Amino acid sequence: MARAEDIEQRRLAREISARQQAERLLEQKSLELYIEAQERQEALQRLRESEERYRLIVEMSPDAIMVQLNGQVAFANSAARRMFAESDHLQLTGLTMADLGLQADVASATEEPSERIETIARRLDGQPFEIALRCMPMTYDGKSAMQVVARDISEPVEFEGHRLQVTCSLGVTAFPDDGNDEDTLIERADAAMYIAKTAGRNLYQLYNADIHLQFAERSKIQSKLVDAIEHNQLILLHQPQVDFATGAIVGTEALLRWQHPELGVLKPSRFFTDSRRKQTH
Amino acid sequence: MKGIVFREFIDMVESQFSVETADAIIEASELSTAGAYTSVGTYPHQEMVDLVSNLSNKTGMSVPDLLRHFGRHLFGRFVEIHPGMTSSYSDVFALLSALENTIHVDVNKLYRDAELPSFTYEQDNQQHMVFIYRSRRRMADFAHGLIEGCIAHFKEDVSIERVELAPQGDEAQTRFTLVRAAHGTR
Repeated sequence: MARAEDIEQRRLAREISARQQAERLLEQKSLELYIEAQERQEALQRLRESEERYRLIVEMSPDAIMVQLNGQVAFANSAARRMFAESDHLQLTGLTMADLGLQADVASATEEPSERIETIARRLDGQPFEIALRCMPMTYDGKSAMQVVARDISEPVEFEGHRLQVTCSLGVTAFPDDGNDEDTLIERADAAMYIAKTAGRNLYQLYNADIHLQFAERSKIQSKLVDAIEHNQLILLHQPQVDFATGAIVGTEALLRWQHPELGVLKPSRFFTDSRRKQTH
Repeated sequence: MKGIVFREFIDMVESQFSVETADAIIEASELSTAGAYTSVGTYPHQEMVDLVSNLSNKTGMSVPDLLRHFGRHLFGRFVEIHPGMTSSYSDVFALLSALENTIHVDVNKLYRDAELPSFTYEQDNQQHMVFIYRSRRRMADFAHGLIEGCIAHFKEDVSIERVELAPQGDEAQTRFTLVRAAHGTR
């Protein structure tokens, strides 16, 4: 039978050792976070200083996917750039892209075999998934890179015995033409992606000034939609359906219109774009 | 296996058996860190197997019984440690059906390298749920205890019928059929 003091001593030694382990783990973690932050800072700095003009941001959905490819600057680590992905219609089925094991592989967008790209997909904060790319310097044409991303995303996948094909909408901005900082580039890529999405699925859209106007107008209109309901500005117009043979009215169509105080009578296409996005329905 | 499970196990042995018993099974097992566990660390699964089998030798209780007992105990501890993880669920079925896609996602955020078993479930109605546990770890007894702990937490009258299925590859498969008593909560 072990003596009580011996047992207590061993117990204490284990506690001390556990504490030391925990401290080591914490130090290791904070070092990792520090290095990540530093590398990100350096990558952004290089991006700003870079003479290479091309930086491509592809954003694939309003709330979840954004793929960023970088022309000249090497992103030092996966934390430097994040990409979210969600498909055009997949949310209807309740599946996420991660369930389907989708990953965009942009390796084939590059021409140099020595170029290194890592694609990592993992779940992040309840978002469907994250792809992080580690890009070494590469040259490519923006369009072809987008095509590769779109093609890889839409590659049919097998899921629980079903063959599924997913499409995506992409919005693209270029550095520095469309913005000098990350927030602006992302915001504008999002606007372009939104236009791509409303124009029909499975498209990509390069950002331009018109998009900015279209997006701004749409956002403005949509933000007022709640007021429109409150102020009874939504009206129904009835249009008769006439049987040509007899001239008789056989039915009516009800058409929704918004009597906008400043813009006049608006058709639904001006204010119903993507109700899921703005939660205005 | 995450350190938190080891810590909870040793704490349980100390409080429910004795400090001597905990010390004896640690001394009798071959452990990478001599039995020093921190909740945020990760340790070989085999160490848990050794600890439990040494506890079984020492107490005469069978390994499956001990794992089940520990599962029941650990569920209660999880509720204490992470109250947010259970408070949003109204009953056993709601919690179990959220396990794979919600709770384990959160667990992975907290403990990035956690190796979690996978679960699938089918729920025909409010009275009946089939829950399949799959893991290379073969810890169905532990899962069983956790489910029992969950039922105890919600104070529901739910019976568990357990059937071992043929393994799939190197993964053990166990089917738990949960049936809620006709009168609902007791």
